[in-house]
This record gives sequence, C-alpha cells and structure tokens, in this order.
Amino acid sequence: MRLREFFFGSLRRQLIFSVAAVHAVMMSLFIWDLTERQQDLLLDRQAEQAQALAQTLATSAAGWLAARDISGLQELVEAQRRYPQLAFAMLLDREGRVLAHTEHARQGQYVRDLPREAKLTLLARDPTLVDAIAPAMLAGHAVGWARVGIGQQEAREKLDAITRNGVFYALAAIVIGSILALLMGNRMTRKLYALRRVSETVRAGHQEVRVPDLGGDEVGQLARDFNVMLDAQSSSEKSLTNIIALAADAIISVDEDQRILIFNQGAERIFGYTAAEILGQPLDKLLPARVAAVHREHVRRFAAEPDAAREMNRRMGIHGRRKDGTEFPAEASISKVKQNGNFQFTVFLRDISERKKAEDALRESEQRLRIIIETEPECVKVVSPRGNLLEMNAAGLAMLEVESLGEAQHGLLMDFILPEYHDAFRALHSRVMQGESGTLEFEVLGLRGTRRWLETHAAPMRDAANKVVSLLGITRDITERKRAEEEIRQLNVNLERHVLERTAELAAANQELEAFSYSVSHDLRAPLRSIDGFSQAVLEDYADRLDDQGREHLNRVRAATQHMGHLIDDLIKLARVTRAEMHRESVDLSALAGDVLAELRKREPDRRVEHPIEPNLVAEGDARLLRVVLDNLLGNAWKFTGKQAHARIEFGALPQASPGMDEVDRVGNRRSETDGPAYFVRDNGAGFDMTYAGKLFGAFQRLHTAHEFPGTGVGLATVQRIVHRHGGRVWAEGAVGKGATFYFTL
Amino acid sequence: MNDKTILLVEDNPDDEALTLRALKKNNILNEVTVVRDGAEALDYLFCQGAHAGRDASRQPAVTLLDLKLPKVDGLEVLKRLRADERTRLLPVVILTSSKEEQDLVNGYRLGANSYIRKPVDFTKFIEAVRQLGLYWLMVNEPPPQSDNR
Repeated sequence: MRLREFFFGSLRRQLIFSVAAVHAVMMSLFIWDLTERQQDLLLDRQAEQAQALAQTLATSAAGWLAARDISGLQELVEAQRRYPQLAFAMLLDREGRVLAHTEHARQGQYVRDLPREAKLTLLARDPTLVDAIAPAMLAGHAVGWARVGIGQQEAREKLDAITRNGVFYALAAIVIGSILALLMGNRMTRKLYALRRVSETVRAGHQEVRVPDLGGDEVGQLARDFNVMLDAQSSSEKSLTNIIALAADAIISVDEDQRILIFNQGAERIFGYTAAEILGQPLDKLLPARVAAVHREHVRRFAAEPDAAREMNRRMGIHGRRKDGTEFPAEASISKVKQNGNFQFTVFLRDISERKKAEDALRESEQRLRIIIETEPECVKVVSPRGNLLEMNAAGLAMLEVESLGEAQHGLLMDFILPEYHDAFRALHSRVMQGESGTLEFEVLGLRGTRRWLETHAAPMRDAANKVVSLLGITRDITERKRAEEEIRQLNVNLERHVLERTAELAAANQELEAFSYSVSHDLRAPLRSIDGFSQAVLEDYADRLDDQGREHLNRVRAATQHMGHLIDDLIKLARVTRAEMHRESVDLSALAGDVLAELRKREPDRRVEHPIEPNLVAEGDARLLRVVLDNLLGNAWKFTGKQAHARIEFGALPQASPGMDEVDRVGNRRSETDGPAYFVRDNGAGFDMTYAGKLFGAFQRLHTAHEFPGTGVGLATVQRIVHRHGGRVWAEGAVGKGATFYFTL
Repeated sequence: MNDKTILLVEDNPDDEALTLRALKKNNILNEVTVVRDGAEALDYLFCQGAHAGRDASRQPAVTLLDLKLPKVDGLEVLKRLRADERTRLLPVVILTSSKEEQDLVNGYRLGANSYIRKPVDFTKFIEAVRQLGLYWLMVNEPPPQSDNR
C-alpha cells in the first residue's frame, strides 16, 4: 500500500517511474539480444576453426595413418598443442581406435560416436566445447579420422565481458532516461502544481488570487479557464454577500449550538447590535427571555424535520428583543443547510411593528366606522352588482322591519320595494355600477306591513383597481317629510286659490278705486266750478245790489270752493302716488332739490332764502315720485319759513349708521346700517310741537291753521307713502319756533 | 270779430253757461254751437242725423270737447273725427275737469290739438278761455276745408 502510494502518489512520480521502467526493460532486452548474438557468432567461429583444424589434421595424417606410424601420428597430435584453446586432438583408425591422443592414456580406446559417413562432421557445439571430426582420405578411401575439440574458455570470457558491458550500458541508459524523465516530468507538472497552489489559496479564502499566465499549452488554457471560473464564482459570491448584507430583512445564521455566524446589516438595523458585537454570541440574546427556551427546542426539532425551510410559528407570533431590551413583533422563516456534517440554520426575520401598528390602527378605525355606521340613524347598506344585500346597519334593518341581516338577505332587496319603483331602482343600480351616483325616492313595504317613503343616495364603491365592486346606499326615512310636503302642497293649492281670489278681489277694488278717483277728479270738481263760477257771476252782474257783507259772503264761498278744489287735487295726487308704477333708477337728489328750490324762488322772487344743498347725493328710486317728495318737503320748508327774516333751508344726508351699531335718534327711531343714508330737509321756520309729531304724516292732519299757513294736510301723507313705497322710513324733529327737520331713507 | 264758429260739446248746463259767459267776458262773439252729447257732436260734424241738412263746408274753427259725455264719450268722439278724412284735420281742444294722466295721454295720442283743464277758480277759467279764443280764433290759420273738393 505504501509502495503503491509511493509510486502512484503523484503524477510526477508516476511519470518518472514509468519512463524509467520502460527504459530498463528496453535496454535489458537489447543487451540480452546483443550478447546472445555475440555468443552465437563466437561459437560459429570456433566451430569453423575446429572443423578447419580437424580437416587439416586429417589431411596431414592420412599418409601416416595408412602407414600406421603411431609415433608420427603422436607427433602430429602433439603438434596441435600449439592452439591454446585445444581441448584435445586425436587420430583414429577407420574403426575408431584411438591411435594418437593428446592424452596418452586414451591410446587404444575406441570412439563410439563416429559419424556414419566419411565426411566432416560437427559432433558437439556448446558453450564448453566444439567437437569436430574429419575423415582422412587417401586415394579416395578413408584411412582413419582426425578429431579435434576446442574449448570455449576464451569465448566465455569474451561473452562475459560483453554481458558485463551490456549490463553497464543498460544501467547507464536507465539512469539517463530517469534523469530525463525527471526533468520532463518536473517541467510538465510545474504548471499543474502552480494551478493547484492557486486553487488551494483560493480555498483558504483568498478569493482574489489568480493563476499567472502559463503559456499556450493545454495547461495554460486550463489555467485561463480556471481564472474565468474563479472570476465568475467570486462575482456571484460577492453579489450574494452584498444581497445578504444589504437586505432590509434581518438574515441571521447560527450553528448547531445556536451561536451566531452571520448577522447582516438588516439585522444590525433591526436589533441594534453591530455584527462585531453579536457574532459568536448565543441566539438567545435576540429573543425575549420567556421564549428563548421554547425557541431553542423548536430549532432542535426543526433540525430533525425533513423540510429544509419553513415559516416560523405564525400562530403565536414571533417576537425579537433589541439591544435596548425592547421587544418587537416579527415575521420570520428558518432554513437549514448541512455543512461538514453540521447543521447551519438561517433565520430571515422582518420587523413588523410598523405594520402591526398600522393593522391595529386600521382595525381600530374599522371598529370606529362600524360603530358609527351601526348607530347611524340612516340606513347604510352595501349591495352586490347582482342586487344582493351584502351589508345593512341596524337603522336599515328597522326600516325593513327585519330582525337580522340574515332575514333581510333571505329574499331580494327588491322584494321590499313597491313594484312601481322597480324600474327606477334598477336604473339607478345599473347607473351606479357604471360609476355614477344618484338619488331616488321610493316606497318600501316592511316585513310587518308598514309602508315607508325612503330616499336613497347611491354611490359606487370601488376596489383598489378603481373597479366598481358594489353599491353603497345611504337611505333615510322621509315618510314624515313626504307627509309634510303633501300637507304643504295642499296648503299651497289652497293658498294659490286664495291668492287668485284675493287678487281678483283686489283688482276689482283697484278698478273701483280708479273709477272712484276718476269720478272724484271729474265729477266732484264740476259743481265746485259751478259754485265758484256763478258766485263770480253774481258778484259781477249784481254788484250794485249787494252790500259789502253780501260780497264778503260770496268771496268766502269762492275761497272755500277753491280750497275744496285743492283738497280734491291733492287727494287725487295721493291716490296716484299709491297706484303709480315704480321705475327705479339712479336719481341725483341734489340736482332735484336744486330744481325745486329754483322753482320756488321763481314763484316768490322777493323772498330771501339761504338754501345750501349737499352736492352729489345720488339715490336709487323713482325720479318722478322722489320729485314729489322734495316738492312737498322743500315746499313746506319754503312755506313755513315765510315769516322768517333770515330763512334758511338745508338739504343734505346723514352718514350711514356705523356697522353693527344701531343708532336711536331723539324720536326713538332706530337706524341700522342696512337703512342706508338718511336724507334730510332742515329749515329754521315755524317748527312744530313734538307732542304732535305722530300726527304729521296723517292725511288731512295739520298743525297750523290755514290762516297761519295755507295747506291741505295731504303733502306729508304723500311723502310718507312714497318713502314707504321705496322701502324707506320718514320721520321729523322740530320745536315750535325753532324750525323742523324732515328725514327720510330710501 | 270774424265768422269763425265754435262748437262746444258739453253736457253740463252749468259748465255750458259758464263757458259761454267766459267767452262773452272775453268779447269772443263768434257763433257758438252747443251740442250736449258725443253722438250729437258726431252728427253735427258729419252733417248727419238731426244735422243732416247742415252746410258741410262750414265746419267750426275750433271744437271744445268735454271728455265725460253721455252716449259717446269725448275720446271716442275724437277717435272717430280723426279716423274720418273730412274731420281729420279739424282743430279739437279738450276742455275737461279731468287731470288724469291717462286722459291727457290718450287725448293727445288720438290727435287732440290742445288739452285744457277747467280750473275751479272761475277767474282762472276766464283767463284760460281768453287765451284759447285768442289763439284758435285769431292767431291760428285753420286747415283748408277738406270737403272743398
């Protein structure tokens, strides 16, 4: 085994030993072959030599044999001793009797192995002796034999030398070949060793090491491929490492003893430990104390399970413990990998406290919403696209007079709705399903038989993809409202009839009034004209028959008549003011007042009256009617200042009452900002007693006698009526002998 | 003065008397024809009915027309006069107690040449009649008689 390892332990040795072995075998065969050939060659030469010697001896001895000269023969034999390697030489007669021999003792012995024919024969040829026999011929007849044996001593020495040399050369060749094999093997395997060293270094953790350029041969190619492979592996490992390191989730690996091996940045963020602090520490540090033991047991059990990965106990919820001791809810899965016979567990953990908080908030808000919906006095319902009732709150169930949602869901929602509203309800439903909202009033028949008017606002409910998934209906009981509406409608019908009747009555009354005032204006004046006219006629035609008293009476008749004429005219004017149509426009009151005063001045050019007018007072109103107002107010002022040496008539406006502050004037009139400015006409004339201020604006009411100041008492009534028609107010301030101020708003 | 005549349409005898008196007071001595209702006024001016034989060429220089008349009222009379070719241009002065705006407007719209309101004060009435007579009988040139053709 050790021997085998020694030989085949390394590629280099295998190479060297195999080359050396091949050499040894080859050289041995070669040397053996060479020695064999040399030996053969030597034997052949010896044989030839022996044969030639035997032939020569035979020839030389032929005569001697025939003559049987033993001593000559012996001499001949002895002569052969000059060949150093001669083992023996002998001469035989025809029958094989030794006649002469290099060993004298052998004379007279017979040789048994004579060849059958008389010719040169090689009797032995082996590495110790070459034995040749040649017949001695005389006149063509064999007279005896010459036999020579030559020893192989010299040949063996030569052969030994040759063999020795061959062994030496073979050894030399083996040594040289081994050296060459060693060199070549080294050269060939050096690159492989370099490759191997790199791979060992990489395995030892030096990922960045690469094989240097090893040339263009196969190994060089292999090295390049190896480098590429390393690059690929290194980059994929690097990205894997990055992924793990930067993952938002915590990735924590522990060994079988639950000591922490890997702790990525996500884990650092979530738990608050740095990797340096926690690596090698027990996993328990990351768990609440109460669950640590349970957790350990779970992991142990998991190791025995066939699954390679699984969710961690979702039912109970996972909790982690941060460095600061706070706990947080988490979601985690665990996986296991067997490495070097030991399990490594990896936990993927996510901090779900934010999510949990959001879920709790959502649940809470859902709960709140549900309470709101349930206690909502209006019906809230959700209807499926097919028209099935999905949800309905208590108020809705009460409207349908059912005990539970299940009872309401028993049939179709439509079954509660009176048939005449089915089409409208379906139309609304399909419109909402197309994304619109709508409102519908309809009647339902509750399960206990109560008929109700309902008003529903239906709107589409959409899912996250904005697709309409159901209908949300908010429905209120409008039975009371409907009843009230019906009542109002009835009342309105009645009212309208009343209004029509009253309008007709009013129109009739108006027409009567029209006819009346026409007839007043026309017919009442005619007699007056007669009275006045004929009184005048009497005064003229019967002047001589009347005394002063009579004339005075007639003049009084005439004056009364004419006063009556004025009264009638003013009455008509008052009536007309009430009836006339209003045309609102911008009216320059200042200019109007100027016109009126100019006319008054023209009528009495001798009077000296100071009359300042505030300029640019513009109001909205009917120009003709406002002219009547100013005619009356300024006319009055003119009239009542008639006895004043320095008469003064002023037209102006009080500023608007300040916002939010009602002002109360001396007469108790309340002015608020909405009234607008108050215009006034102020004089320093006769004035009036405020006690009678209330009577000022009544028709035919006078505070002065006709003797003091003429007048009909209709003017201020007319003013009041016009101001009222403008939506304004009129009032007066004054004192006897101190003048008067008339205010009006529009 | 001259031979121009005046037609007075007046149903009230007092007013008739006073009007005639006023004319006389102003020395307007032209012939005054008095008719007492609207229908008679039309008969007179169109020379028909009771006045069928009247000389149609002698139309009054001025007609003093009261509005409130029995049978046919003054405005109706005026309307018919203006609708007829023969009397279309006849000077007509409305003399009435009415000061109603609608009467004034209607009177002028129907083609009255003047509108005079009879004042209660007789002195003023005399003055009004004086000016009326002066204008219509002296100053004004009457239109050519339409039936001269």
